[in-house]
Amino acid sequence: MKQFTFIAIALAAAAQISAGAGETKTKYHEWSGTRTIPVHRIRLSDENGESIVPQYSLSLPFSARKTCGACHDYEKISHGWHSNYGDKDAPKGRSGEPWLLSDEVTGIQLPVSARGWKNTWLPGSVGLTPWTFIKTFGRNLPGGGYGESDDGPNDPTARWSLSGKLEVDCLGCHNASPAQNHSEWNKQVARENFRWAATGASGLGEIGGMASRMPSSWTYVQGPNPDDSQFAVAPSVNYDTGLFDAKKRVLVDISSKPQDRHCLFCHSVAEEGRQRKDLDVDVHTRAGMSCVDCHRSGVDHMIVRGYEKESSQRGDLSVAASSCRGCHLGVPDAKGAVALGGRIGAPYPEHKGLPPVHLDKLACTACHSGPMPSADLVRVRTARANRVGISGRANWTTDLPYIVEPVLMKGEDGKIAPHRMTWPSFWAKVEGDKVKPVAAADVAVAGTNVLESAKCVAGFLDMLDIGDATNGKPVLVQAGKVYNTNIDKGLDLNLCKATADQSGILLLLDGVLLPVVSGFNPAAEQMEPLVQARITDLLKALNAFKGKPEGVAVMTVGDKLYLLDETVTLKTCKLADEVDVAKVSSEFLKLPSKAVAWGWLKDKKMSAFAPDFMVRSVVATIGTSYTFTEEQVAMVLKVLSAGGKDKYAFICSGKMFSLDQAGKLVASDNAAAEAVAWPLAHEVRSARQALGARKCTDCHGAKSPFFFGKVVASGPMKTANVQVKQMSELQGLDASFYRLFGWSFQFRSLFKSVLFGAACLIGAVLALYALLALNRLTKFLGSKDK
Amino acid sequence: MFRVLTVISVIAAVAVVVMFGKQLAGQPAKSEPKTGRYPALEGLIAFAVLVGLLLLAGTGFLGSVLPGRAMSGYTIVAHFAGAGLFAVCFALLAVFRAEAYSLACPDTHGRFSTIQKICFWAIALCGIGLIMSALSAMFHLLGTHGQLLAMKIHKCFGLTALLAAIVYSGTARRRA
Repeated sequence: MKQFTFIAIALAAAAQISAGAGETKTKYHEWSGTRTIPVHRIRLSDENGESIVPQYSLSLPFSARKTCGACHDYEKISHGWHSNYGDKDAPKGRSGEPWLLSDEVTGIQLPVSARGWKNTWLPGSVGLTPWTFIKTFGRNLPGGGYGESDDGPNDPTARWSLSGKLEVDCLGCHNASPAQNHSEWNKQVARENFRWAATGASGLGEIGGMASRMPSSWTYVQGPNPDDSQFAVAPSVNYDTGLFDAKKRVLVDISSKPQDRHCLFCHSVAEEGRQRKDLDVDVHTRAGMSCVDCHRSGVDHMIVRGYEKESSQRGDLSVAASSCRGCHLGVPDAKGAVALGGRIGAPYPEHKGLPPVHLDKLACTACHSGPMPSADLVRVRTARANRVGISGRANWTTDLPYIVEPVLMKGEDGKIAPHRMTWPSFWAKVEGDKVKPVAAADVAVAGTNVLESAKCVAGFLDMLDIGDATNGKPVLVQAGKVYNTNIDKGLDLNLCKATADQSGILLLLDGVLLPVVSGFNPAAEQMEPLVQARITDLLKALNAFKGKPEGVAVMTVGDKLYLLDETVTLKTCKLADEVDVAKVSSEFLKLPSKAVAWGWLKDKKMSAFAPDFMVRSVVATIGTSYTFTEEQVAMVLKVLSAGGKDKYAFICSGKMFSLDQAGKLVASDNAAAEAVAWPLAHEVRSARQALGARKCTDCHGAKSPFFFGKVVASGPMKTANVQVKQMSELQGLDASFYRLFGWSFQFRSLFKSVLFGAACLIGAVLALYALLALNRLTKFLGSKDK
Repeated sequence: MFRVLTVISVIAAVAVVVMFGKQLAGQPAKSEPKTGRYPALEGLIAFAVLVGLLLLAGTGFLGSVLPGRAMSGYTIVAHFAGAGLFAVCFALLAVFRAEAYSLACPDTHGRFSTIQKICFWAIALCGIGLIMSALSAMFHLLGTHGQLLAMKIHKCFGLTALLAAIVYSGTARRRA
């Protein structure tokens, strides 16, 4: 019995020990209270947890999860605000800038947010898988989130096995080295080198190759392909061995407080067209503060966003101390210094002369942040939407999507605050009251030879660009404007102006418009050999044009027609013999033409060098912010709707455009067309530049832009049918009252004077009778009746 | 707190008028009361003061104090209009009737009882307080705390003026 008991106890103890061994948890470093930052001379580990040997040519890039995660709670960090957008349990928070899925060709500008903010689409609902989300927006993501998704098996297009996971890039924020380069991060993400992106961006190593070009069967363990060192080069890292010491450790210049430039990689916003020298930095920056002085976080990386209701939403009173009110005025429910306000020397706002009701109805940012309200909204570019800040030889910055500010509207907390706003633009399948976005690829197919008018016309001009370049460049001249080709194979509006009699295809040389065929005299009996050769070469080039319609290239002037015969020899014919002039219906080709005109001839039918709608589109859109015309949209909708089963529409500029029974484009209202807006808080202006600091009529006027500014929707389609709203409508206020109230301010000075005068008069009467009463008193006290 | 005080004091003032109005009104004049030099104009001004007072009391107490929210919208426009009317007309009324309301002799002119005279001068005093507390908020003088204090002072003077007006009008009707 005793033996049995002893064995039982021994077995139980052994079980306890083994269970305890399996449950050993990693102890992460916690702040001990030191005000210094430990020197991070550390070994790098790859994703397999192996120490990196920088001299080894097949080294893997370092893994933040294994390197940083050895001491810091990577799991906790990866569920911080920048990475938790895909977490089901993550708080939604106040609406912020959504991702804008944009495509310049199809004019798509779709607000996407995994947090389900108002007027945004969930990534899955617009066909974005974690893989495509990372590919599209990874340039401005810090890694983690969808970048470490396990959704690969459900997405046949995902290539995580080649690219690796896009881990949280700790160094993206915490690397104080000037070598930290976000543009490199962008480049590597674009190349699908997710595993390598952090290493390349940190400057610790040089990344070569592109995972995007590797066959689907490739994995990194295979190493490089010895048969291809030009195109499908496997990603690799070449560490800067000079940075490593003999123990293969590298000094990583860590800053616990990320520098502003790291935040501004993704959070830069600037007014379009404004020069850098004209920008005034935020008053907080000018005062020596950095972004993270307000936007703080702990190890959990739940960055404080700084809006007023954030603390109640997060259930954390300390967060309130980082809002505008909390910092400047104090947190009423808190204790100690936090309740007093004035953190980090924040001045106390007196708000002299401001009735307190303003502080209840307006957010602090309404008066202090963003551009001053004016008659026209300001168009801005943001780093995330317009790819601003990616440096290199290529220009990544896009015009689309168009974002405007400041739109003064009621926010989610019920207070009026300035917002940035953009209008969704996308092609949609209409299903009852709801619409479903159509993929860009499908629209591009439907819009073949319709949407990219500028490129088609530019292609034609490029074909005419033969011979001596010093003779000039072919340009399109129409309606007094000149359009030349650009490096992106599109068209630009040239500064040169054409006269009324100049139109069609001409050459532009040093600001002067010249004929395409110099020395050409149609009336001459015998054509000069050089002229003949020139025309022949041009027609040959046009006949080789891949984008040409059916038919042969021809040139015409007057009653003559020039084309190449079967032996590729120039043939001069009579126009009337070759072309049925009566059937020519082009707006831009009038026969017989007075000037040289180019076109295509098939079966006696001549068409202009480009379809009329293309030329109309070029004239209407090039040099403007528009991408295409209503005519083009109608054509694409007709193609999409072919078959008659499904109804399609184009959402743009706050309206839904669809085809009616007669095939005409009509506009209507739809919830899906409503703008998406998010509050802005920077740049904060100085107190003297606050709204109302000079006078009340900054806002309270009969025509004040604060209440009566027009918010005109914009989009890629040129149309007069756009949604227009007044600021007061967006603020939920009665415009007629505020107009009356603003009008009354004209009499405010007079009103004050009258009130003061009345008070003085009443005071004088009171004083008089008080003095009389005093006189009686003195008389009473001074004498005694006998 | 102020809301409760308003309700209680108004009820108390009305109760005082109802229960003691006749006593407070006193005896009528022994001889024919003296009238002002321009009685019609004086009457018009007095009527305008009454209208202004009602407008101010209505918009102020019913539009802001009792609902417990800041005055806004057309209510505040009406309040400002009433304020201008009341201020100008009361100043003029003070000039026209100061002698009649004088406390030098209990029955000067014989038109008004002592309690009415007291109420008049109370309203006059409150009038200055009301105007100056409102005016001070319209200049770049007071910060947020000062503005809130000015508003409290304005409400207190307003309540006092209202109570005085209730007693004045209540005893006026009861003067035989």
